Amino acid sequence: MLELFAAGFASVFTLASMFMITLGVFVGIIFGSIPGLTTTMAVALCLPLTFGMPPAIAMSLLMGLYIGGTSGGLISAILINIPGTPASVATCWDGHPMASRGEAGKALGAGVVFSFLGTLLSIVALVFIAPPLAEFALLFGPVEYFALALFALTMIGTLAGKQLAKGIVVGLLGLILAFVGMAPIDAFPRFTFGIHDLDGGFDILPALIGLFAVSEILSVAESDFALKKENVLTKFKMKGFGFSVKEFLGQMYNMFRSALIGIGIGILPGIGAGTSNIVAYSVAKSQDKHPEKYGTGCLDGVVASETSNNASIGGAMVPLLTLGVPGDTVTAMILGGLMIHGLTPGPLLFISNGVVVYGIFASLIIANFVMLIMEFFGIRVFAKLLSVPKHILLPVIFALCVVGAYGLNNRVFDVWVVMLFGVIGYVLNKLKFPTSPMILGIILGPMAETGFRRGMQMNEGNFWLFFTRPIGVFFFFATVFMIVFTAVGNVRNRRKEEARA
Amino acid sequence: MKKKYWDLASGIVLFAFSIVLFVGAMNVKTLEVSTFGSGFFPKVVAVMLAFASLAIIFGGIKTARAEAEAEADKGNPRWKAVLATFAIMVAYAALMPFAGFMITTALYLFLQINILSEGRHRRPLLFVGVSLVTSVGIYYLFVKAFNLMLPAGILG
Repeated sequence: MLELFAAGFASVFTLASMFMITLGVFVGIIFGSIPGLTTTMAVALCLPLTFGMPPAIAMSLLMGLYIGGTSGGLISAILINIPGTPASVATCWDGHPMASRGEAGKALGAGVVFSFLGTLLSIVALVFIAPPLAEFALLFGPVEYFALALFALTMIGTLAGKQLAKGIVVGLLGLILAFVGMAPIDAFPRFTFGIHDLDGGFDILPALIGLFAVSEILSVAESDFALKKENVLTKFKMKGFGFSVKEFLGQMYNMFRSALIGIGIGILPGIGAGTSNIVAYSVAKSQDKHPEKYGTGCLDGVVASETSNNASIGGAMVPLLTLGVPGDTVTAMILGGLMIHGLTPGPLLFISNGVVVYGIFASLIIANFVMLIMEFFGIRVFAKLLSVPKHILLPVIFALCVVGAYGLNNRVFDVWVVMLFGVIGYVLNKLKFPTSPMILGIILGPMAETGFRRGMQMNEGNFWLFFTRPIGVFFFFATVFMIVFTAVGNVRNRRKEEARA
Repeated sequence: MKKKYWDLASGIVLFAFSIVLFVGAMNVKTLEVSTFGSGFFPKVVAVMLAFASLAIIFGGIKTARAEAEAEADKGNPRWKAVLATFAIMVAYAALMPFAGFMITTALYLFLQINILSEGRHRRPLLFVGVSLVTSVGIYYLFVKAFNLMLPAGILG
């Protein structure tokens, strides 16, 4: 492992890689901090840059974007009370009150430092969990992948929140969209309507770009959002990191707890920083002796939110690298980015491309330090950039999305796919359907179907033999458990609401 | 249509779609030998979608019956802007293979920026400048520095 680590670091310690990491973190922070622009968008937009690069350099850019973007959201959360990305929703709750009473420097300092520490802890977890898990996953056959995909699909319940039926529908729509193209095993095209460009199915990248970038532009067109001048608090003092050693030590327990929550939620397929920051915040609040101080501007809230959202980074990379199941939307994009370079994430990646995997670890570590330094010294610059006019920025982003989609296969067809998914995303948003379950459907659908049909072939059409595989059985039970758990929770919530009404 | 009927309507559309999908799945070509061919999963998903859309329909009936709650309207959605945006995006993709990336991108950017800025903050000169510089910049950056192919069109 140490040798691979050394090789990984060596592959990243080049001028090109370092430049790409720095660029990635910089762009990431900008996208993270400007409300309406997300980390997923930043990755979508920078992917075409990576098409011609060697994989190691491409990955350093993407890792920089991921870390910068996840952390950058804290700037707008604290300074204008609007989360830059869903990952910083809970940061607003205490960060902005702190800023309004003149402690913006302290809130920002704490946010930056604990983002850094959260990421660091999660990378440590990633480095220790991923290789053994990958080795274990080598034992997985089609039955196990089928069971794993089923289990991962139950995460839709968690993503859907209160609107379980809507979440399930969107997940199913994702599955359906993934049916288009050549079927697994017998390779007959289905649902292509005779369009040959569809024989290969929809590429993940144009689909994601459409769902998460283009639908956003349509939404902005609809509202006046683009024109609002946000009130940016630009007058604040920053002395060091803004908090004392004593305050720092007082947050240790909170930090470790929030980091664990972040890592755990990150590892679960499909959900990531957008969920973990809120969970960590509510856990911190409920375990505190003085829950009433939360929301009034207490440091603990900022620490919980910012530690956990960044801790989800390392967590989300675990299932992506070891099983090929993305931990959240950004890692879904990164999955697409890896595939462009012919790298299929999964246990074999660790054997066939160990250096790339450890290069990814190394890039994450370096990007984390770059993020710390850049946010510490450049926070004022990023705060100024918050007022870049969005009516100019968004069209440029769309043009870059088009470049990315076109460059994928050198065909305009993929640009049409971007638009199709943009419209789907916009309509879903409009009708108040959550969009993120769709990615789970698109990515896990083929995995489940291929696993199922291969498994059936292996077992000569006897489904019951699936239950002779212990790891598979474990995931089947986990699936049933998750379904029951979600259903019971849903009914309980509804009763509560009815009791209140 | 009033907002409170949206759920009901989308549920009905989804239900109809699940039937279409099921019928489509019955006609999927597959190897004769396997019982669970390429049509099997689509059929299962169609059935699940039918059930889920029924749940949405029932939920939709409930919301439709409930007194119209004070809908927090965030002002009128600018449908014109949405449609215009969609129209120029379609035109952008349709014209790109013929007119080339640079020309279509510059045009798209200019029109899109105008649509989004709707009346206020209009600074035509700045917008023209941004559109031209960005489209030419992106083209040369990607084609020359990153070896990506982009349609050159009539300029090529």
